[in-house]
Amino acid sequence: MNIYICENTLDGLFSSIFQAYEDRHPHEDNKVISTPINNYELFANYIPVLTNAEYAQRVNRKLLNILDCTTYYQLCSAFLCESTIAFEISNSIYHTVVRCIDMAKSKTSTKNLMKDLTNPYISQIFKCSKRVMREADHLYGFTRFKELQNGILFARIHPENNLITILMDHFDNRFPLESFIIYDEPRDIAALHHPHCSSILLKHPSFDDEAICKYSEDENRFSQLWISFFNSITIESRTNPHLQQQMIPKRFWKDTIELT
Amino acid sequence: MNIMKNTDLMKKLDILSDAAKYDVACTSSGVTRRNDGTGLGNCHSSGICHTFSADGRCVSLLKILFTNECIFNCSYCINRRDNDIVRTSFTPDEVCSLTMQFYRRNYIEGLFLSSGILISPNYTMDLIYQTLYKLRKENNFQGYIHVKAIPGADPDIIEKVGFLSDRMSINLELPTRKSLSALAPNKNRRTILSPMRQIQNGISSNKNELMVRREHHKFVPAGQSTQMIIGATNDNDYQILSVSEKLYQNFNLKRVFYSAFVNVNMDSRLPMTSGGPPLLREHRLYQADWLLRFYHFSADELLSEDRPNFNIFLDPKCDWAIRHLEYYPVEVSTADYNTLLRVPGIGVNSARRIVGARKQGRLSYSSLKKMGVVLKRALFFITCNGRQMYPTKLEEDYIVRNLLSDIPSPKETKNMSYRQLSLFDDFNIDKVQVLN
Repeated sequence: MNIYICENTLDGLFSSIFQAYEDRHPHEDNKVISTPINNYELFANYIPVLTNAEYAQRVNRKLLNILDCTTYYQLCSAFLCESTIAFEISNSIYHTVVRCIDMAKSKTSTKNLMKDLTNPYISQIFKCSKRVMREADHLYGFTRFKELQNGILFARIHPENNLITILMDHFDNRFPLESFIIYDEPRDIAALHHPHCSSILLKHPSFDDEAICKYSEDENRFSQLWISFFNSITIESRTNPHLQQQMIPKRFWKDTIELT
Repeated sequence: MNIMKNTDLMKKLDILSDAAKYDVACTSSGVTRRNDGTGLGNCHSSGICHTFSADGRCVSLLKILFTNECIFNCSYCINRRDNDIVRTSFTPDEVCSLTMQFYRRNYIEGLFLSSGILISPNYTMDLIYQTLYKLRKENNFQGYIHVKAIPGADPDIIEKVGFLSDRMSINLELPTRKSLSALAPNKNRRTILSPMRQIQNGISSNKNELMVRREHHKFVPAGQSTQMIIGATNDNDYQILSVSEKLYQNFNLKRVFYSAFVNVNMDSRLPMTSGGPPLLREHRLYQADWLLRFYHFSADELLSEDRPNFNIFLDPKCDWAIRHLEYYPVEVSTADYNTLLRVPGIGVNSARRIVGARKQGRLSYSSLKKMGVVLKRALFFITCNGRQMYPTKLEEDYIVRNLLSDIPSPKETKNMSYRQLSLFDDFNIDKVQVLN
């Protein structure tokens, strides 16, 4: 058994898929692991893979050629999953990619690939991707921006999965003329947007702590208005805190304004 | 009447959102629009919920009345003419500023603008039009707008508003003509249904125009919806569901909403809802509504003149299945999509997944579970590769007993004294006391 160990990024995973094809071992005997390993297997050949942007790009291009965009999006979003169900997700993605490439070689359509939910790899990718997209859907709504003194909108999030890129995509289109920052606090990654520029992703942004806590004059007024709206919209005779908590899970509460 | 002029925005928002909260529709779905790069906002066809209030309802839009002054006197409405409450109105600029500022902080998905009727339906509708015009054209707002059409307003002003909004709705309020004239003397079926028909025709003719000219403005692209009050009159579930079915078929509505009646006015013509609003009944109606729209059921299959109300213990789909055991068991690896949809425990998504997956390989109970089938309900009604999950009897009593042991019984049944569960029970439990 050959186990490829790669960096925990999509590029790293694609590089090791490229490496696996280069090495020409039978794919059934291969495994790709991108998370740090804490328990080594006996009788396995560990192969560390260095991330190579060019190789990764080639795998990426190949996938874009042979897959329709939904399937491609599902594969990539599944990789962002960091919950426990994503255990060895890179391996599932690797084996699914191998299957796609085989299907493309034999000129079978990959259109129905993701429907084969009886396959454990595909079922895992499907689950992880769904989990990531569900959380993204939540955060499309539950992210709250606060206006800083310099007019920049600033949002903190604490998501379970590493989905800041998905959020960035969404808010770029929504607020094209605003300057805004989305900050994933536990991962220390920030997405920055400025009007008429393409957005950037910053690792370890090291913000000025004081600057990101100084809110503009309007901020307090509108957040008070929002809280009062939120409270008056409730129908008292239908109060159902259990349902509320089911719909907006507690872990999102601290980042909203109205529920903290 | 106590009319407040020059009140501060906080107070106004408090009053006018409180007055709007009994409108249940708060969805932002049905239209996808990307931002063109010059304004604020976009729309997602699935809709986005921004928060959930303490009653568990989704808050997606800034739901407000333009004014709570009203010349109508509908007995169920908190804003009716006879009520002695504080009255106030927004100005178009205030609505715009609230919407824009809330939207850019990502509090809301758009605006839901309704209104009491000030001076005349046309006058009110014109105020709404001015507000939307400011918001769309001057502030370049590209998010979602849901607006109420005022019954009795002129067709041309409704049309102008339609081109600025995403969804329009006119509340049917009550399912029958008789109950409408009893409780809402200023409204009648004609003033409600004719704008509804106008919007429907507008949408379809606009679609034809769009095919010819792409840059044409869209008219009510997210379709129209309506709302009925449940439990204010003696109309039964069968009547209500039949009306919904007709609305979906004849008026192409996107949604019909049901709102459990809350007696806010203590009006003697209305029932006291001593045990709280009839939430279970509302829930059952929504379940049945889903069956109409996505599961190809018809109202006549679910209910009939002899059984006009829903079963309180079982959801409408289970209830139907139990009464039609001759269709079961269904073999999941061969049954067609529509048959799969009628199995309790299999929904639209899992039926689609089953149809997709069985082309690729053999199904098993564990893979069905992974696809999202609720096996503890479905197992009585299906076979997979000719086998049941474990031996069960295809018998009404046996299945009901097992289903009920798994489903937590509705809280409405908690206070009932013990008696043999009868399957075809109806909603007599919330028999309303009518004050006289």
